[in-house]
Amino acid sequence: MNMQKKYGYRLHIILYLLPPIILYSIFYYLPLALNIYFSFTRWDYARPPTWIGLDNYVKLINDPIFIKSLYLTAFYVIGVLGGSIITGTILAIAINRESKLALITRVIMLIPYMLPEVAAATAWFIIFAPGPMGYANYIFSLLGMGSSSWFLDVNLGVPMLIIYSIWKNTGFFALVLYAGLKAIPKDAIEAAYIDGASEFQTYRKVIIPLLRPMITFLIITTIMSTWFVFGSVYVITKGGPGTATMLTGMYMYLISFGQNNGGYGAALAVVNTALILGIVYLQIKRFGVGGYGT
Amino acid sequence: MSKEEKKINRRDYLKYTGAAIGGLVVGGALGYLAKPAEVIKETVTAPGAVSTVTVPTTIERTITITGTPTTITMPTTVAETREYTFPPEPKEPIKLSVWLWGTFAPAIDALNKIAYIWNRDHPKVQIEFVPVAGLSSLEFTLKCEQATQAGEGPDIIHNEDYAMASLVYDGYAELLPSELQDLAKKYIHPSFIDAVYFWGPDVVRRMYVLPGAYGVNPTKHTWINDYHVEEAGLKAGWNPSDWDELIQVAQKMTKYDSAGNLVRSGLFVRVGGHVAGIFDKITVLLRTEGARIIWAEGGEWKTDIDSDITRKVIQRLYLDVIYKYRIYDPGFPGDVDAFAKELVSIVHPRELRETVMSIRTVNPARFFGPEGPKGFHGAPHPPESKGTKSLSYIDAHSWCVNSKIPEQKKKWAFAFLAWYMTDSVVKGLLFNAIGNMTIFRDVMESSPFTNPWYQEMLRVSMSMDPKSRVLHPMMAQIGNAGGTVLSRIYLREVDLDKGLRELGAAVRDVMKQAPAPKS
Amino acid sequence: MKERNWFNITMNIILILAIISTLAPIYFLVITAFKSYAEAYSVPPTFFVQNFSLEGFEILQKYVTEVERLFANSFIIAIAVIIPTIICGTMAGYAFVAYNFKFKEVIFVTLLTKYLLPEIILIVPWYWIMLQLKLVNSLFSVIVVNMIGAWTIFFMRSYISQIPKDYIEAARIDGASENKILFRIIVPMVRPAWLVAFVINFIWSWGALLWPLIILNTKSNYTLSIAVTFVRYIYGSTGESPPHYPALAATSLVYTIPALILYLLVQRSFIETFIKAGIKR
Repeated sequence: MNMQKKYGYRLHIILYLLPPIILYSIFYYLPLALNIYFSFTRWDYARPPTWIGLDNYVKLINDPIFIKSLYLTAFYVIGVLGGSIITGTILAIAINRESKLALITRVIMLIPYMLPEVAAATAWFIIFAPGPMGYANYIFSLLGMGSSSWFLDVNLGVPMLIIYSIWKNTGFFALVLYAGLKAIPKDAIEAAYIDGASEFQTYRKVIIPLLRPMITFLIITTIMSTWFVFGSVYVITKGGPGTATMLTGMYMYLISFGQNNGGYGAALAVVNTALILGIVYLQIKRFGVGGYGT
Repeated sequence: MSKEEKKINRRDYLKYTGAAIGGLVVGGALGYLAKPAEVIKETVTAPGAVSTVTVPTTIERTITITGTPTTITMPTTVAETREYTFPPEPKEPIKLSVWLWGTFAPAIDALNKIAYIWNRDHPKVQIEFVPVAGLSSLEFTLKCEQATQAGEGPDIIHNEDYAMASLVYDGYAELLPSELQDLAKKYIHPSFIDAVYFWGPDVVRRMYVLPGAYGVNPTKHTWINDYHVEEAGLKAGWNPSDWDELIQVAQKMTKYDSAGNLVRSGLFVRVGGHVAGIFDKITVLLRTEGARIIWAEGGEWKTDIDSDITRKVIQRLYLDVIYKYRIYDPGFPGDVDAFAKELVSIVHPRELRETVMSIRTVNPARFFGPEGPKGFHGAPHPPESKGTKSLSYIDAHSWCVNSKIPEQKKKWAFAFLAWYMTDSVVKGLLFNAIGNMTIFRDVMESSPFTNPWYQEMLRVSMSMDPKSRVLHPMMAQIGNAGGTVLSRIYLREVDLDKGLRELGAAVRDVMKQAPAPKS
Repeated sequence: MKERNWFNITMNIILILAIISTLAPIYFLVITAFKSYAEAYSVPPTFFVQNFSLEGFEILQKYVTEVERLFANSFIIAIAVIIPTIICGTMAGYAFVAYNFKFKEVIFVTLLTKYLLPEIILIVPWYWIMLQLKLVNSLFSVIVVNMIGAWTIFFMRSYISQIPKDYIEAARIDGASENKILFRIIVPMVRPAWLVAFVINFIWSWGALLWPLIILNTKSNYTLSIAVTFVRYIYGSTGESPPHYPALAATSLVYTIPALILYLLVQRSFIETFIKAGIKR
């Protein structure tokens, strides 16, 4: 009877899992392998790919723009993830109360996350427009702090992109961490109160440390998409004045479809993927996968 | 409990009302946007009637449309007749689509009028213009090629010449029929005809394109605001004779506010914007100083882009201008729009068509009079030392017929291009819109180009030994890669020595991908 | 716990700051959309619209044209992706919860990597695949690469795992077929999760830029997201002129409103379900 049930299930297991597996094999795992093939070729889309061996990798190692993109992107990722975690945690704590204000904030805080990337980036570009007619420049000049080109300033480009991303992500991070807060068993909190701790102290000593797995989880699930950010860069700076905001995603697009260099683009993809997978692997080893609850 | 329910109900109510309002807004916006685009109205009446086209400047032209073939009455009469053999009228209607890179708003309006006239005269062959904005010219080229492969591509492609080189080398341009080539040689001034020759897929140079909506530009000039020149104590019409003089005068014309910020820049240098444009702007300066940029020798491509000539041009005319003399600041408004708004005194070097187009759109009151342009002029860009001859390249936006479309469509596409090149009404409409059609002989010899201002500009152009700036079949990739590195150097992301090596590597990397021409 | 201590006050300040900083950019976007070009470039800038103008929308209509077609394209792609995603996502999520099988862990981890690695890594091979399949420039090519979202599988799995196993056991003892269990029992219970999955997938699809930008060639096939990136360059004499900010804002506004409305309609159940799904893992 058990054996029959097992065989009976197997059909359904296959049935239910087959569609995604087939689709992913064609459009995910096959392309991953193809990337490696193309990275050894020169392909400009008008002519068939020609094998050139390791040339693309040699070029990559000596490519100053690629090296720069690594630095910029590392800086960007640390800034965005670090910043979003901090603001997300603070906001999660703030919305974890019963007031009407908190309730409204819970709804409104997700709006940036729900806005399409292109529209939100455009809104920020309009606000931080270079020149005296920009809203931000005007406000800052009132505060006596002069004006700036903001996103189009060589030094401020990446920090502005970081701030924009933090703004966009905070609500979502706060929601996830808020769910985590709700998952903390009451006993730990009760114990702290019995011991006479204030709300603030409870948060600091007990709750935040218990959020660690959640934070780790958030980082692991978002680090890759942050590393390869494209939409906001393309809309606002396209790599920035010169290459000041040439983050990895933008550079990969620029090479692949801005200079029609498919082979080199594939090589960039391979190297960046290996790099980020390595980083995530190290992180999991050190900090674990994390997750909800304790 | 019921208070809670009431609270919730009110919230729900607000929510749904908000959603309803939002839905109305979206619906309204869509309804508004779904309005059909305006139809261009052009009153065309029986022979002898006159239709007046008024332009947003002080120049007014009268175009008389008297049946087919169309004739134009300019103050100095030029009569055109149809000189090209049209194919027979098709049995089934044909649609031709023209994809243009960039929008260049004033030109697009004129093109729509031109399409209207053609469509009126050829009901079985309808033409449509599709401007494509927001993409770089190379991205646009790829889109054309890919759409063609999918069977949904353009029939005529209008592109800037760097990207056109790649398009032709990829095999997407149809060779011009010999009748059309002869016509082109007749209409295009010999000084500028080099610009319509491109390398085919077999790396042989042939005539694949015709001058497009903005014309083959009669080289770049250094544009000078005569009002500012007079302010600085010199005579209007001053031309800098060497780099020192240029920088000195530019310094005099530069103004700062009390906080030390730039208020008016004496000299704009191109350090940002469209990447291939960054590359091409420096090439005329290099050529004047004796560089060859890219050439084929002994069966392979060679470059001197990383030579000392480039070094000194970048150092003195870009880096010193920005950082040593603080004449220009990369964040400051620039290019011809800023020139038209008088935020910039000298623009260096830039094409005639875009400059004139910009000025007519932005500031005609200051810069146009009843006699034509006034208050600004284009000089040959100065050499480093006085007496060296200034040399320049021709800048072309041109169009070609897609080689992958059916034969019948090709014939009609060529017929359209021939009509465009030879028809006076077309030229009149385009001149009205953008003020430039100057490489066609008949236009160069008729009003308003007979006025001294234009004649001087043309004389300067022709004196600079203009050559096509397409130096390699894959010029677009070279321009893109090179332009990216150049902007890094200009913005000091990398020092000049390292930058030059990077530049050389980038150019060589692309150059070697195409074989050298056989002859 | 409503003590009037500094902690409470700080928290309330934070909440207010959060609300302001969230709504401010939207406010600026809206007012800029209804300004004229002249007013948008006036110095100092106006924080309320002085001269109401629809110039931005007119430029949008004149130079982008067929806006309703682009809108429809984005919409079609979103719906065409969401339906298979939710159906297959539910099935797969259920499979992970209800069964144990040999390669369960392996398959789970491979699906996880699919979710984590973003699509920009694959644009070159995808392009090649579309060339072979002759799908370049088709909406279908945009749909098919994302047709079954991995995130939905995980989310449904997480949500379904909270349904007490008794339901399933009881149904099995009653002799119900597996399909029946899934469709008659589980599905009605996961409707709230479907709402969340719908919203999230819609937002992602609506906001997709990279792949449509690469694979779509003709204007009538473009998505609305592509149109927004173009508007910056379409005005002025040379195309490199200062952008027409009202047109830019107008396009962004038209593009944003569906996503915003969708979220506001479902926010309450969305947040509740999202939290509930996360509680147990």
